[in-house]
Amino acid sequence: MDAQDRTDDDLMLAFAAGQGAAFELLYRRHEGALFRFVRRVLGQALAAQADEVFQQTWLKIIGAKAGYQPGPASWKTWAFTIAHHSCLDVLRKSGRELSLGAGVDDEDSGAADTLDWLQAEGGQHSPSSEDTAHWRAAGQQLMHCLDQLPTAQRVAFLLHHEEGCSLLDMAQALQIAAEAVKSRLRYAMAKLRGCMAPYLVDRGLAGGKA
Amino acid sequence: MSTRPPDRSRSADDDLPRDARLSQALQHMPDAHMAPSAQVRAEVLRQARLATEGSLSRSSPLRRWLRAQGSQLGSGHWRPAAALGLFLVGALSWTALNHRGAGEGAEATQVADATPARAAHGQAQPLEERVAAAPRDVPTEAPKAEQAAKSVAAGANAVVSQPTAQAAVAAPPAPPVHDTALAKAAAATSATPPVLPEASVADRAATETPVALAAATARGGLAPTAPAAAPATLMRAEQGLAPAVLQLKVNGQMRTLPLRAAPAADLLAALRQAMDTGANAGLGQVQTSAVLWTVAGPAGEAWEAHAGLLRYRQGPTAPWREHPLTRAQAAALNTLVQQAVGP
Repeated sequence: MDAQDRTDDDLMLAFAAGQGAAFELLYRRHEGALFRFVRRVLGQALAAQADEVFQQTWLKIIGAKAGYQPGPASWKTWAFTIAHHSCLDVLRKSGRELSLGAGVDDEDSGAADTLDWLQAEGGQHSPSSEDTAHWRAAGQQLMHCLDQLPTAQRVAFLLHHEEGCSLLDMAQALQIAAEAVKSRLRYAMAKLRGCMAPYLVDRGLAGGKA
Repeated sequence: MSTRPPDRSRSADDDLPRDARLSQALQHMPDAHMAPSAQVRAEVLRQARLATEGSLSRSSPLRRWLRAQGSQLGSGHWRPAAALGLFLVGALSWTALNHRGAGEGAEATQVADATPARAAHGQAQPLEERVAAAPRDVPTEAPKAEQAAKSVAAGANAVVSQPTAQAAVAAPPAPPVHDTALAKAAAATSATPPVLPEASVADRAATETPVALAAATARGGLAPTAPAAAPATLMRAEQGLAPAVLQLKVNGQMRTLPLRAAPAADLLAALRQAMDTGANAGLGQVQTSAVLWTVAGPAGEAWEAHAGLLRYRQGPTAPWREHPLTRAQAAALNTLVQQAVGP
């Protein structure tokens, strides 16, 4: 079997068996996504620590190779869970996770004000007539919007929409009920839709608003 | 500030186009194509390599052998170093005895027959006796070894099988470096070494090129108790050929040892090959205390073997280059070192 065709689980087991090349392949496969995830979970305020947390995540993966056993969740989910925990450690130390994480599943607690502010801010951004400029601005706005989400909702959104993790995988990785995962996702999406409203409507309509 | 809650009046179908645009915006985030710094990437890969090599070295044949040797000497992390030191002291004594010449051939043969078996089976005489015996032999032979080392250093590529000045004139040029030395050594470690008849080794030593002599001696030297190795050494002594000399750093002490010609050739060839096939610069600093052995080449170059890593520099002031070693490469190099020191 071609090395590129090997599953993440196979590569991890091969790495545990002493094949360094397997790890390099695994690393190349997930380097970008894992780094983005870490950076986005940490948010803009802690972006400078993304490299460190990213490295810690991989060192934990390396350290766990001996005891790694493929489970129902994919290797990717397992790795992103490690990254998630590493991020939470940093967020807790900074105090940011506690302030934003309060009322994670409480839809209307406080976050509405933040959302309204974001919506107002978002309305000030006029999408460009050119696609590239429009989507660049949308991406920038989404970064701000994500940054304002509670950490738990941000993690749920990123795992599901960016990494394609299933609800069950996420529930297992985050050690919460599947319903709680759905709830976090629903709240996250609702807030993001509101925050990103100027960029999510039809281009002609958005332009008219602007 | 308005307080508009998220609009829940829309159906799921209404959200689909918006969610599609949200996904598109996700791909256009400023950090969508960001990657970790090169230093982070290098460090992660280095740690992975160290973890891999570390786990392998714990189960490598050499490590098991050293552990077996060390178990009779004491405990702790000094055991492998002490075992290697014991091995080298024994090899030094054996080599020095062989250099006494044909007049003491019977005695040398007897020692050569006994020492390898002891070293291989961990049944050597007590450490104190060995250490006490070594100074009796080393001082008389050390000048010769140092002199030979200088003569080797004077030659550019004539690293091994270096004859004395008298014999060097008639000797053929030094053999080229073997490109497949590592592969040969790796194959040799996994195969049962043939024990050559005495006549066979002697005939080859007398008639064939130094390369063939080296190969024949190497094959004989693989077996710790091979009786053919001692007569081959005696043949060289009778022909007036001085052994090759390299320096081995053992436990922080530099020792100048006369090495057996053929394994030394293969050792240097393998070391050069290993560094030529992908050495990397600046992969990180290695603790000098972790040095397993050091080989100093004739042109001032040096190799340091660490667990899973080989370092090389062209001269005393040149920067070190590092090259990770696979399990097979590390085992092959360690085998060659053992062969170069002696049976």
